[in-house]
Amino acid sequence: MSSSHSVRGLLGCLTSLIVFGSLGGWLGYVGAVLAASDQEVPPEYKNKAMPTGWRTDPTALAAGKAIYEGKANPEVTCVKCHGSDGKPTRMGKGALDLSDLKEHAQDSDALWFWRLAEGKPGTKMPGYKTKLTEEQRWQVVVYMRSFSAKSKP
Amino acid sequence: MKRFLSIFVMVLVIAGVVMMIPPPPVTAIPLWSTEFKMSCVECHAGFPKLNEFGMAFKQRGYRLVGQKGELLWERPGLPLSGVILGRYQNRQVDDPISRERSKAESHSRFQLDDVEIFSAGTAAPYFSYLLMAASEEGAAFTVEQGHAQFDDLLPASRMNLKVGKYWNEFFYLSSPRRLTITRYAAPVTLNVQGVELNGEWGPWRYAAGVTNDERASGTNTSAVNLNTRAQGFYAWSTFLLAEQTLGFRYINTKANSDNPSPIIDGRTRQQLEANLNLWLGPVNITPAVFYQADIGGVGGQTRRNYLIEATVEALPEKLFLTGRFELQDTAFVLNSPNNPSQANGTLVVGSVSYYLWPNVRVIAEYARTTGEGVGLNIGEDALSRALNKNIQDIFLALHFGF
Repeated sequence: MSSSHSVRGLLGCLTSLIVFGSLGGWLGYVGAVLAASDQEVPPEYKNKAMPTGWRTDPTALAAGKAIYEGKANPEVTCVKCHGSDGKPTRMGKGALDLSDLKEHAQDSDALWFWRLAEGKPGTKMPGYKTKLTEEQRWQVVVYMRSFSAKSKP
Repeated sequence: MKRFLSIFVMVLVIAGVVMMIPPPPVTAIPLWSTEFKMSCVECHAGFPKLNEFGMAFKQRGYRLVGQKGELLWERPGLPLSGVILGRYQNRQVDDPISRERSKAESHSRFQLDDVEIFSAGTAAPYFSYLLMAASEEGAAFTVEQGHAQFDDLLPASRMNLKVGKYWNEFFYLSSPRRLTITRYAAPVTLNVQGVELNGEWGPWRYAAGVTNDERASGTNTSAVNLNTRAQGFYAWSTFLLAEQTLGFRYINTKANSDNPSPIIDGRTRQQLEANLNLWLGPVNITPAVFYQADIGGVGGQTRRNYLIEATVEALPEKLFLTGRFELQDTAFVLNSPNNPSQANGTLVVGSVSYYLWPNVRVIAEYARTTGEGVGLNIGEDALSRALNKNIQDIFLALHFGF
């Protein structure tokens, strides 16, 4: 075998290694992201339901707004990351876009309640079950849900 | 040969593409990432520069919202981390008038610029600490920071109490957390010893403290700059509006107060500063103005520093381009040791950072310093020296946190 053939062979191997290596890495990355996006509500939260009539209740909405904006409890300031219009701020880069209609159509109230209570591990989203009562958490969910109602389909 | 060249180019292109592929979410720096299972970019606008969330995390006492903090031995992993900056520097020093090259000062060499070892976090619920030993430019390790903080004296980090040795700075304008290799000519970071109240209140963030006098200022040696009297004080605040930040700071400290002379009469050095941290998509612009009165304890001697820095995140979380311009203007006072030999020093920096991973970056940089304020990279206190030289630096560096 000539030396030019062996050089070519070596480069071919190297190229294949890089291409398939990066492809494998990318697939692994996508897989990890998809796995991380698994949002199955745990049993203790699965049957949680928003109190009847709250979705359009102005009192619940106003209370939720006050909590969301940090006016009711300084330790809960959703607005800093999720924005006053539900769109993620720079500080909350990567946070859920609360004004996105698709997100709302897909996710149940129970899922939102669970996330608010327990947070989302590996992200900046903390859990608020020790900071907010169950009633307050539903008020926040009511308010957060209202962002998509303002959005155009 | 042609074929060999084309294969070589192809390999290069593929290697380039591979570098562009986003790496898996890295939880690389053990101290925080393993503890909070979060990527570096959550707290850093680009390592090592903090973002607003990172600053809130730090000021809260290394806790996330709603957490009390754990006992030191209950925290996962070893609470130890480090940062290393190694660089190649090509420096050319010219006399501005004769244009002659100073061979003694020009050089081309590799150097370990900065090594930091630190431990930080909560030691107990609502009690946090930071201990950092650092070595700059091959010098011996010294305690750069060492402080403890009582967190949440008022809930939600509205008021914390910090005691020890720490940096007095804005998170978006910090010398140790700068993206460039070249240090700031303006006095952006002051390493102080004292006690500080800090916290956040809605869109306001603040800190105010009482500290020892300045240890060093002007051209005076450490022998006449004592660090024994707690009679300095400072306060700063930032206001966040529509994701743009406005900052103010005031510093009042006795300089050379133990060594009065006809020139150095132990006056109070005062520093007043205003800055902005503006965001426009991927562009971050930080203009700042500094006014100092009675520098080095010399009555009536003022210094103004003007600074504008712009960083563009050209490739998200990968490629950062930074440009900076600084102007320093020191007033002339007869017989003052702080007098510039050439007025209006300028500093121009152009820097490119490429992040191989969120905690590892390579840096290429060009810097040009003229007039007063030269002597950057020689040492912290050299900033105010008037060397009357033109300096050009080219850096290639590797910076990583582990």
